[in-house]
Amino acid sequence: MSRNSKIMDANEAVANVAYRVNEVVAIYPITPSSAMGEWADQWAAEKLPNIWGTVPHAIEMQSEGGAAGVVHGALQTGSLATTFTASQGLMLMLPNMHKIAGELTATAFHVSARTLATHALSIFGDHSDVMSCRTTGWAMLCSNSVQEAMDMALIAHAASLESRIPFLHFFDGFRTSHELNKIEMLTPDDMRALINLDRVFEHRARGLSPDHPVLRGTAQNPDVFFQSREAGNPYYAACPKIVSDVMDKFAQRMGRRYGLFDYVGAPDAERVLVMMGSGAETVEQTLEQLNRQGEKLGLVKVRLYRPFSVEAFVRALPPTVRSLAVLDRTKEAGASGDPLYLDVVNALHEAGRSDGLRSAARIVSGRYGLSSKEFTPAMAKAVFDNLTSDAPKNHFTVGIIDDVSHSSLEYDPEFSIETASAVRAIFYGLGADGTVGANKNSIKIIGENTSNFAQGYFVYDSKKSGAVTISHLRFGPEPIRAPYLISRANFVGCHQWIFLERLDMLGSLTEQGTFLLNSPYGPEEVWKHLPARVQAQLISKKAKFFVIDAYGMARETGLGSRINTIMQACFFAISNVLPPEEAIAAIKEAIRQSYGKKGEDIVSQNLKAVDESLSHLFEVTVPNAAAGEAAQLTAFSSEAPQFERDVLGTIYAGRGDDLPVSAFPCDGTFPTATAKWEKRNLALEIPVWDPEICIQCGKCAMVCPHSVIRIKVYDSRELSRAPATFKSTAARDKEWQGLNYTIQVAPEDCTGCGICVDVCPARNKSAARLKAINMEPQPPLCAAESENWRFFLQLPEVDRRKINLTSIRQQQLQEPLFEFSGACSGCGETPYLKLLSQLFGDRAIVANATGCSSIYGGNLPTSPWAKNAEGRGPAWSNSLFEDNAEFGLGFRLSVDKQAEMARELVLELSASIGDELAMAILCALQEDEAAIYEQRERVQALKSKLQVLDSAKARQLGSIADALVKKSIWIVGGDGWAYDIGYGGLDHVLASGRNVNVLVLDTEVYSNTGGQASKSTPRGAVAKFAAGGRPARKKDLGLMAMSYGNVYVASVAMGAKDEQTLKAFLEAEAYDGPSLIIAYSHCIAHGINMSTAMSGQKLAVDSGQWLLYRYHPERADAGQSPLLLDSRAPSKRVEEFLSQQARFKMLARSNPEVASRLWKQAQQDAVDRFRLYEGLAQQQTSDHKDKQPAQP
Amino acid sequence: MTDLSTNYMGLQLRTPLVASASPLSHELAGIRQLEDAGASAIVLYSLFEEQIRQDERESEFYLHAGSESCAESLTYFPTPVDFRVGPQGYLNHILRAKDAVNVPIIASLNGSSFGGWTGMAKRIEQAGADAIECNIYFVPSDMNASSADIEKSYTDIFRAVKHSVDIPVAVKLRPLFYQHGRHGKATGRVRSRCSGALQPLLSAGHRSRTS
Repeated sequence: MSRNSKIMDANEAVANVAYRVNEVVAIYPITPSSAMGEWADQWAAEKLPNIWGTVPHAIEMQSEGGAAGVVHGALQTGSLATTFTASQGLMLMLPNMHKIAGELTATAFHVSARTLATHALSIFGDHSDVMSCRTTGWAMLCSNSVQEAMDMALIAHAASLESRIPFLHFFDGFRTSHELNKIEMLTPDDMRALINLDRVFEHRARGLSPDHPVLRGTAQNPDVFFQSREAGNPYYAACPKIVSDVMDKFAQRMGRRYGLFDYVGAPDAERVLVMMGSGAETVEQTLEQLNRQGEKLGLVKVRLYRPFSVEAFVRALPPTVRSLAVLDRTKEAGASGDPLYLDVVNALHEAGRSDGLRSAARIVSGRYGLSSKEFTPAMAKAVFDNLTSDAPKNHFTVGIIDDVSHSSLEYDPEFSIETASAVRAIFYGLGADGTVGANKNSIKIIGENTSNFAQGYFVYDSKKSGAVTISHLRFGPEPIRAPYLISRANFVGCHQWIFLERLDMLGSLTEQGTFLLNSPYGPEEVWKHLPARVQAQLISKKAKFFVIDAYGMARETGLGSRINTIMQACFFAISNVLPPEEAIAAIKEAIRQSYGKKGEDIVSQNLKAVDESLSHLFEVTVPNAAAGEAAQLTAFSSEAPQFERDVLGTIYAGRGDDLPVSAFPCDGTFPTATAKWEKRNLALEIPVWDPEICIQCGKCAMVCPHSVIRIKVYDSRELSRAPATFKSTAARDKEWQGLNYTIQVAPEDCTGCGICVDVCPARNKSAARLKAINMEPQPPLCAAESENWRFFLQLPEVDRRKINLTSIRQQQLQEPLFEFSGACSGCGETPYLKLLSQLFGDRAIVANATGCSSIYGGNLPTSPWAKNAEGRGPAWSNSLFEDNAEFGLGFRLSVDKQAEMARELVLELSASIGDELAMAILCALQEDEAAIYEQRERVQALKSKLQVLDSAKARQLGSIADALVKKSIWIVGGDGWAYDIGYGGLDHVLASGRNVNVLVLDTEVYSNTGGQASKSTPRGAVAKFAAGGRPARKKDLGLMAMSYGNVYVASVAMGAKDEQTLKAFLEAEAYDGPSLIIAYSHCIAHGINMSTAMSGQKLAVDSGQWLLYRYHPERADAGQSPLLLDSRAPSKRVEEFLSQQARFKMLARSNPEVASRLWKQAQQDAVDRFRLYEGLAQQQTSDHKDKQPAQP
Repeated sequence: MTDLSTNYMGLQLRTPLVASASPLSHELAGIRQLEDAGASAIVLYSLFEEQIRQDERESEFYLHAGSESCAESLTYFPTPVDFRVGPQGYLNHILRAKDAVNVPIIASLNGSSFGGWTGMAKRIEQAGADAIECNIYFVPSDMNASSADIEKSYTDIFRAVKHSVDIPVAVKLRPLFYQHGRHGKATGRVRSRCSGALQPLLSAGHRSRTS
């Protein structure tokens, strides 16, 4: 039978099988498995039937725990059900997994194996999550490649139905889940052939039904539980044979043969590795080459890890084996060995009774590849080499330099097994320039239209703005089994000129390789503009060098900043991966297919770009000598502290792999205030202040998502040392009379989003297009403005005690302690965090739910959370996604307890401390900045006194004295956390009555994992898992919180009414109880113009789509309605708001009839909600109805 | 009852009262109301080629903004199965309007390129419109262009559209645009050959016919 070959990643390959052999699919997004659920949801929306002709139900749940519960329920009622997950998500499924296995229920869960969060979160791949499932009683089946992932997905489902043991099928997160490779597709007939229909019927027959009722899920007691638990043993005993039989059946039909343990290598091998996952592919390729050179090496690939068949494992080993290295991609701290190693040791120990030869082999354990750390042929060779030693290192690590425990093996990074016949290309691009999309397209063109094989793997930056992407592409006549990055490229494409200074791209270029550069300079002049280091590399490598002005061409052809098509055409023109004419025809066909439904104009633009690219592509003659000395790449300024410079700077420069273990803290604790060292120079244009026009309202600084616009007032004498171009004017505020005023931009930290210009209310009357702040090209301004910025920073901060916090123009003088985040350019969340940091940062502890804010807040190398000159600033931590409210409540309880204990000790020691000081400390209310300042002074005096007191109690008090100063607890997260996965905890924390402040950055979608619907997603919005437009109303979280009566609740939108936002933050923090601020946060996932997004927020409020209100429980005490509606009656139609955003317009284009209905309902929702809130705001408490309402 | 029937571009109308292009024709209900109120033909709201092009570019830009940048969020939107950009919505509207009423439906077209004018006109004809009204909106910004050049550009568009379709074509012109008589003479040949019309718009809601 001929089957189609397609290019896809493992997520798509697995979803293809899982969707077709199931009836219920419960999903929840988590990296790197989200795409499997997204595919299932999309196919269900498209009414794609499964192999039995019915369309599976796909449902998004509120958490992975919820998804597992749904699957459990569906299985128990006789349906075939599945889910997809990874990492912490898998941990949330554990309780249900124990149940499902205990009930001998057939299913398969598909897991793109990902690191569990320990000292840090990591989205990348290792086996720590799946290894935590060893006790669940699930079978565990591992795939090592994209093709295997598709095959094993089917084998898992088939074997589970045959055996009644549930299967956890896993493959390496990112390395396999996201690798594009050419695979042979399984057909629905293949799936029908493998799935035994009789077993499906038996599964259904076991389902709960009132027509043949049974009881399952009983509670059992000491008398019988044990025996019952042992009753399932025969099923586990039979399972390996069943899996083996299914694999044989698969091989007969498909030709690809798998075993429980597959041995590859020399039949008489003496040194053998045992491992599972993508690394096994690397080892297999490596040992084949080494064996050709005369070595005798082997590898056992573990397929079925649970139930672990000792007999099958021992049989897989060659009888000649003398030494074994077992490689685990996980770390079980404190264990006598990592899990696979212990299984192997035990297997050989148990087998020793019958097989003395094999059991005599020496076994060592090694750990590799945590969090997707590269595992290369050179490392594989080092593991084999270790086994040649008389005393091989045991419990070793490979791939890192461990200079603390000295566990690591040395390896030769120059060792390579790359073949000559393959084309290996690396492309460096920016996320925004379309490089990755074009490369994915190229892989499909070559892989699906020619007999060639193709592989693509993409490395992404941790930043959301200005993210660097590195694409690794291999093409060749043989199947490509190389799950590691390219270290020797015969083609390197640099799609951004700025990378020349920052990245070492040519280090991996082979001799006589080709370098393609997107250059604003033509072939005649480009050479003199290249850094000397790049010149030297091009000369020494005898490189072929081509340039194209892709941005110039993109502008000419109307493509804006999307240079993907242009660079792709150039790659095909000079790489010879296909005959150029054939390649160009294929690109054009791909453009018609990709862009066809996006419009004729888009198609013609791209076709034109292809044609014109070739005439703008020039080869540059490489001279014989470089122009100057090759300078080393530098990262952070020499002014940075040593740790920041040597460790964080090295990570920033892309050389984190070179850092040894000793460079790192042992517990994941890092300094804050580090983003300031990056100086990313992303902005093509930056804001320029016009003091003559400026009305000094402070709005530009308030909305700046990256905290690059700062304001200071200062004595004019400070200007004596000012740089020549430093701007200053008289302060307008009456309270700052006689002082000077400056708005300064950080030119190298600005991302050029333009939001400041949009909100600036001051127009230049002599030039209507200009305001008091205007965007101008960054390069000519950079040097002077950088000097101005440095001068500005050393101007004194305004005394916080003298700032009127209710006036934005004054409040914005407060120093932001959240700056230069890597969030998307123009992010809607970060202005709120910056405001929080300005108002309360010097006394704040932040509990941050996993999501965008935890990534731009705490992703190495740097953090935007900062410190003031006294060294105070927000202390920040991320626990998990689901527990953030509880995590923050823990902060509160802890701080309160410490404060209480400190007060008790102050009282007890008052005679030694001095009664006056003790009473002042104990009676301090700390209600404003001045009072907090005074309390800090007192605590400082207290500490001085305690130092001379030699008593245990004094030392106790000394250790907690800082708790006597007010602490502000902030619980921060997105709507995915607050509305869905964390809602139960949030609800409980709000009900606790404790003084915590919850800030929900409500983007109305799971932004961080790529736009999945949450219960905050409004009606009619298109999102992943709501491809047909969300039919339901947005959950009214604020109203639910108000129902407690003692929770302060505010709904804010800074772009609509910044004063209301400021008031809400001040009131929430001042309220001695739980506070909830729901902050409308525009997001790139809305499909909007980010530079005018604050105006979009105003439209949301003007149309009634978003309400502004503050519910203050204390107002009820005064007989007023606690609810103050800060929104006026809607003056615009909701449609006006919806039509500004692609998330809503998309539905109008894909399903106008449904869109029309939902838009009308959305209008009604807005009207109904406003009426409801208006009514609530007019209600007075029953005891005080005769009193006058308070003025807002 | 007085017979007010008339012929407009070859269309036999019950009365000379034709509903001009307006938001009233956005919804089928509005179109039905116009017929009920006595309109003998209905000119639909205008299809703007530039708007379609802008829509296409916008949707392409916003649906892909930020994609393929971060490992966790490679895209932000689901891939739509049936995504309609371009004139399809307008063409469907013609089809539905034809079904909804018994009076002639005249599509209104504003092109921005020669290919746009003729291509869209052809598709409008295929969608079943009874006639096309060219809504040329052109602000001359070239200081060196003569009045004759500008008039010629109108004539060229009219000629191109008329040659691309078999249904009648009218051109809507703004009042005080030019010397109607002279331009009418210049285009007369085209009109007589193609049974189309040039239609100066003399004041809001008031048309005069040249045929």
